[in-house]
Amino acid sequence: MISLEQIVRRNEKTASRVLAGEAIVLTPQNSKIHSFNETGSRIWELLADEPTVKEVVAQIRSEFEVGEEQAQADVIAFLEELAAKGMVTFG
Amino acid sequence: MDRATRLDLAMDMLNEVIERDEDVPLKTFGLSMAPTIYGGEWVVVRRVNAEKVGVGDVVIYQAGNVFVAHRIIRKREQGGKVYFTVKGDAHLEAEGEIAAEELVAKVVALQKKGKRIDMNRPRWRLANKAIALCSAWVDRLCKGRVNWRDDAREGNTHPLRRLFIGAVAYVNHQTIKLLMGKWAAPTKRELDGTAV
Repeated sequence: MISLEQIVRRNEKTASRVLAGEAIVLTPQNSKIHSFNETGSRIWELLADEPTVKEVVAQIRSEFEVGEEQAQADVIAFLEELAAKGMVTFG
Repeated sequence: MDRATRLDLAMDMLNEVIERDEDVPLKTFGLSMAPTIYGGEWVVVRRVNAEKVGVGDVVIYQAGNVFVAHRIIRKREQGGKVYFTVKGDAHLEAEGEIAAEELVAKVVALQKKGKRIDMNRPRWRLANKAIALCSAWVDRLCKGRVNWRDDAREGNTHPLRRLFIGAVAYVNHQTIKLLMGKWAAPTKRELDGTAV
């Protein structure tokens, strides 16, 4: 389970590009391209600064007008999915 | 983001990853390198200095929005520049020449039947050289004597010529299969990655 205080880091082996608010990420271990929706792309952008999960939730809340519980659940679910695909690690 | 832009970005990212000098696995498609590589199999590519690439090596170069993995069958120098003639093992003729700076990477391993085949091992270096020699011979034969492309363009499809071309293609295919040994033809189950 991810805690809110954990730092999220992009896997340095990935390569990514963000164009017009849409992020696409390459995971070299399987040469797969992953693309995200608007919120996912924004979260990926935020991860460049190695924030804590809490900071990501706060930023998403302020930008997307969503309640705290909802934002927290969605961000954590998304980050867990990224971790399962080898795109991020938690510190 | 449209498909073309997405492909451009994907190629850009792949180039970036290869530039980091890491081994990158790529899934292949198409049958131009059969029976060495069948579409659906994985290859491992690594950035390489053009000076260290020679006849027999399978190299990666970019053609539009795809990476192509074909074999070097000839190498020549002109005006201080190095050029490679590249050809798909399944093709009868070479595609043409690429300059050394067009090389993106070299295939260093094949993933076949759940095992990694290291192309730098002496057994495979020898097999690759032999396949390249065979390929160069087929290319010369088809270009020089038969000129089947021009014949086809002119509507000249003499049955004997077609038979000859078929025979050359068959011998080429069988020779490569012989050199590849048990690694030549994967089953569909192996391509799906379900078998080890």
